[in-house]
Amino acid sequence: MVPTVRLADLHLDEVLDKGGQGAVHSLADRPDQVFKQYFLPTADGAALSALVGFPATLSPGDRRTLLESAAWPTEIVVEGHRTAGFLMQRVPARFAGRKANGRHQLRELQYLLFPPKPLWGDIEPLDVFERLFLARRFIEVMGVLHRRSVVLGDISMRNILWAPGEPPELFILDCDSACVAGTVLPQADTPDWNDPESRTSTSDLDSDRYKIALTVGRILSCDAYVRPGTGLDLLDGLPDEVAAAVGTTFARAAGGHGTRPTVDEWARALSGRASIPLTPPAPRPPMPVLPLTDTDRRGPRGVIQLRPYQR
Amino acid sequence: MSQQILPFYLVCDESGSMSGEPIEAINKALPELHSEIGSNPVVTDKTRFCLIGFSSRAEILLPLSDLSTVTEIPALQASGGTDYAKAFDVLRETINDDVNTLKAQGHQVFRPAVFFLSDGLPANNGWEGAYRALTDPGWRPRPNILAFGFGQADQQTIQQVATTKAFMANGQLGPAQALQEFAKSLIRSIVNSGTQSASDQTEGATLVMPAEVPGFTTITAEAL
Repeated sequence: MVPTVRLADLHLDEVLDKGGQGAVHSLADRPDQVFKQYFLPTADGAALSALVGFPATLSPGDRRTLLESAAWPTEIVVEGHRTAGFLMQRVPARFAGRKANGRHQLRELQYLLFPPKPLWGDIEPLDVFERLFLARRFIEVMGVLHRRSVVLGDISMRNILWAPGEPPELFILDCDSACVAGTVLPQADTPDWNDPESRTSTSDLDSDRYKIALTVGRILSCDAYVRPGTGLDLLDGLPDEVAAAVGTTFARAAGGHGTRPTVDEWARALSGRASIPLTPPAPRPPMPVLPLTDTDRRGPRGVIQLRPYQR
Repeated sequence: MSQQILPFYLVCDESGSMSGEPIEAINKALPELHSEIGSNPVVTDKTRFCLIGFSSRAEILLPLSDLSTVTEIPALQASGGTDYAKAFDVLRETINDDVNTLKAQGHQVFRPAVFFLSDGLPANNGWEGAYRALTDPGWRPRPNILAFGFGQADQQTIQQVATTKAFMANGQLGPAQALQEFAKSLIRSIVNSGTQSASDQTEGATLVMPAEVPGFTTITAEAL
C-alpha cells in the first residue's frame, strides 16, 4: 500500500515556490517535508503511486542513495478521489546560500557553470576535485534509477543542487517528472538542456543519457552551453586519465539514440580507471542445415524363437 | 562567446507628479531588481537591462548593461513635465545603437522588451509621430511595449502606447505598493524570459509577460 495522506489533514504553511505545474507549500507540523500541489486536475495518480512505491523496491543502500540525494515523492496527497499532489523531503538548509543582499538562494547547478560574481554572496563554486566528486555522486544516483529503467526527465541547471563540504553533496529536485511506468505529467524540458534528437516531448533512457553527458561535461568545464559534438574544454587539474575518458565519453553522447554512454560507462570514465578493451567472443557459427539422410539402414529383422509352451 | 540576448528597457516617468512615494517606490525596487537578475547566472547571461528616465526630457540613466557587473545606478528624481515624444525618441535611438553594438559583438539579439511606466497625460506635442517611428514595422528592432499607467494616466493613452499589453492601476493598492508590484512583475518577466528563452536558434526567445499584476487591471493593447 502506497503511503497516502488526505489534503484536509495537512497544515499548509507558506508557499515556497510556484511554477507552471504546481505550488510547493511548507507544512506547519512537518518541518522536514513539503507539499507539492498540482494545479492541473489531470495528474496521473497511478504513475505517481509507482514513484512513491519505488524506493521500497530498492536495496537498503540504493534506497539511502536515492532518498539522501533527491526530493523523491514519498507520500501521495489526495482530496476525495483526486490526486492533489505529493509530499517530499524539504531541501536541506545546506543546499541554500546567502546572496550578497542577505537573501537565501538555492545553490543551483547554474552556479557551477559561470565565473563567480560578487552578487552571489557566499555561493562559491566548487574546485575541480569537488566537481569531480559531485559528478560521481550524480552518476551514482542516476545509476540507481537507470539500472531499473527509471527515467528522470527534466535534468537541468536549476533542478540539481549542490552543497559544499567534505565531500560536497548533491540534491535533485522535481523528481515527479520521473517515470517508472508511464509519466505523471507531460514532460518538461529546460532550454539548453534538451535532447536535440528527441522528436517528442517525452523522455526516455536515451534522452536522460544525453542530459547526463551535458551535466557531467558542463560541471567539469564550467561552461553552461557546451554540448556533445563541440569541443569540451575541461577545467585544469583533473587527473589525466579522467580528463581523457570524460572527453571521449562526452563526445560519444553526440551519437543517436541507442549509442549514448550509459551510467556505468560514465562511472568508469569518472573513476579514472583504465579500461581493458575486450574482444567480444565471435558468434557461434550456425549449425549447417543439411538434408537428413538415413545413415544407418536397418537390415532385415531377425526372428526371436520362443520356446513352445510346455505343459 | 556568441550569445542570444533579450534586452529589457525600463522607461520610467520621473515628472514632478511622481515625487514622493511613487518615485521612492521605484528607486527602492531597483536594488532588488539588480540582485534578483544579477545573481542569477543564466538570466544574467541572456538578458541586458537599461533604465531611461523621462520628464520634460529623457535621459539614459543606466546604459544597456549586464546587471551582474553593475555596482551603482543613478536614482530617479521627480521634476518637470511629461514628454512622451522625448522618451520615444531616446528609446528608439538607444535601441538602434544597442542592437547594432550587440550584433557587432557577434550576439544574436531578440526583439527588445520595453516596460513603460507613466502617471500622467503626455504633453500635447505630437508624440504619436515619435511613437510611430519607434513601432514602425519596417524597423527591425522595434520593441514589444508593455505600458503601465497609474495616478493621472489616461487609460486610452496607455492602451495606445502598449503594443502587447497595458495595465492600469485600479486603486486597490496604494501607489507605493502598486509600484512594488509593477517592479516584481518586471523582475519575474526578466527571470522567466531569461530561463525560458529558446535554445533553438530558429525559434527565437520568448518574452514572458505578466498575465496579471496586483493593483493593476489588464487591458488589451489597442490594435493599430
